[in-house]
Amino acid sequence: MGAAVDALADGIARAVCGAGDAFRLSDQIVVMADQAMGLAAVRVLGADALAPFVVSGRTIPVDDVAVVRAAVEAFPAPARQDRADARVWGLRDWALGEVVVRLGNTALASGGLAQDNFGNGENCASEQPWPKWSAELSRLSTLALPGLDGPVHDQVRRRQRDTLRGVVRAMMRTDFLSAARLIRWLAVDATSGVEPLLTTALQHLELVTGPPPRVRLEIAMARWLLAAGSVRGLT
Amino acid sequence: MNSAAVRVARLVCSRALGWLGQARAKFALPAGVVAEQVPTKAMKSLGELGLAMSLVVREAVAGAEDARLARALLDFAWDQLDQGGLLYRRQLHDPAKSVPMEVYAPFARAGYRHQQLMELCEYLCSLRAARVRELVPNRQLAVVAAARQLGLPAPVDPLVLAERTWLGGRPEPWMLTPANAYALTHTVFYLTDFGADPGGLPEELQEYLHTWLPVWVDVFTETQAWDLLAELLIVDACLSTPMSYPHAWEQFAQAQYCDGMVPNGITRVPSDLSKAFGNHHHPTLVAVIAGTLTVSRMVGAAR
Repeated sequence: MGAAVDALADGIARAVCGAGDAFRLSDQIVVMADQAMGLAAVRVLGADALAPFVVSGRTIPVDDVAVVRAAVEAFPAPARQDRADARVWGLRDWALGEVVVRLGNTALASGGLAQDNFGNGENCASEQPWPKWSAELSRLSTLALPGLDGPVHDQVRRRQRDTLRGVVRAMMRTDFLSAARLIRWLAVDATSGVEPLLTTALQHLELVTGPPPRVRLEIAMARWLLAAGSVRGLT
Repeated sequence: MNSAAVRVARLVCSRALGWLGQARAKFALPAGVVAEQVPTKAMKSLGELGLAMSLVVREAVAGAEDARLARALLDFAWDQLDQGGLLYRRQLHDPAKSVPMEVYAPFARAGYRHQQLMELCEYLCSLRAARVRELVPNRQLAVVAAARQLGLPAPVDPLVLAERTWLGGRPEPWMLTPANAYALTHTVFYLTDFGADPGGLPEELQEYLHTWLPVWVDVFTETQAWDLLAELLIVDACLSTPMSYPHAWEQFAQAQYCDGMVPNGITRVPSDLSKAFGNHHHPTLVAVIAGTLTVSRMVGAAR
């Protein structure tokens, strides 16, 4: 499945960086040898499978929403006993549903989607020590979009230094995906205090680490967020 | 006060002192060798033993038995150095070198004196040559710190040197490697006189460390780099507002051997003390300093 995820992430990252207007999710899946793996990849990337529409503000074509529906049906959210896992699934699926609706479509059927029983992060353990907190935050990077404001965004604003510590910890542990995801979180509301360090960290990821597609996708989103500020985004 | 960290730090320190007491003979210099031919490494190890024990004496937070052991180890090391005579002869042999003075400084502070060596150090520190040592900045700070410990004027302004260190540049924090981490820790040790003067560290560097030290402590706890971790825990104890890191102390304590030796990272430790000594006496010495300063700062803050 990793290859399908990488292929899809690569196509999305390229679209976010430049040729976003031509992007069609269905085109990405149709060319894959194993289309079930393609649907699984859509599930792995969550709302980011639709990132080119988010950055361009285009309405998501009906065919592409159909791909998302097929992915959710084929790979319904698992029942998670672990509270942190359940929370991640709930929030990520909430973000996926929101992006579909806000970019011009009817809501996805709830079957197959994890239920957001957490009120967009209300009950999360926001007072956890920074290493654990930032590790959990990185798993929620598909929520890191300007229009999806909520309690998780509030936490990031409140714990900016802890998020930065998470970035550096991830970089030193060569966990570059987590590093890029946390940079993306900080880029949503980048203040003048942290922006220079974020820009340097992004350059480091790009030039030193040879980022694979999923990391490049997170970098592309972070760069878009830094360039766009909070002006653009979902309404 | 973080009582968990204090309890663990005190225990780690006491056990490490016990191991050093047992290993004392391994610090001995080779017999029948003239001062000029004593290996610098062996001389520095005695200097590090002297430094660690001088801090136990200075902080005075050890129990009676540990305090007695620290003083006995200082006496032993001073005797090995021929009560300063060996350092004096070594300094005469190569007046441009700073190591004899650096080794002497903690002994002098702990009350051991060699008058001729003291006069020689005073003269050498007054020279123009003392201002232009071709050393990396944190090593130059070490020399300046030794001069100050001896009560001599600093040949170079330590704050000017500090600006040229890795820490002084406040670099991108992910660029820390073990090598420049040691440079950073020593910069802090010398600027603050091992925690005696936290204000010696400029405010912007305090703030930088307050932000990033938690990350480095976390990373080097995970990689079980015990020697470097202990040095970082000393850095914490040198700040105006130490954070104490109870989790790191707990992990550090678990890594310590039953006999008190602290292993130098993830490595197979020989059971024979004489073979273990070479690689593992340094982290054990650093553990004594880290434990002593952590207990002292935490207890001092609670007073």
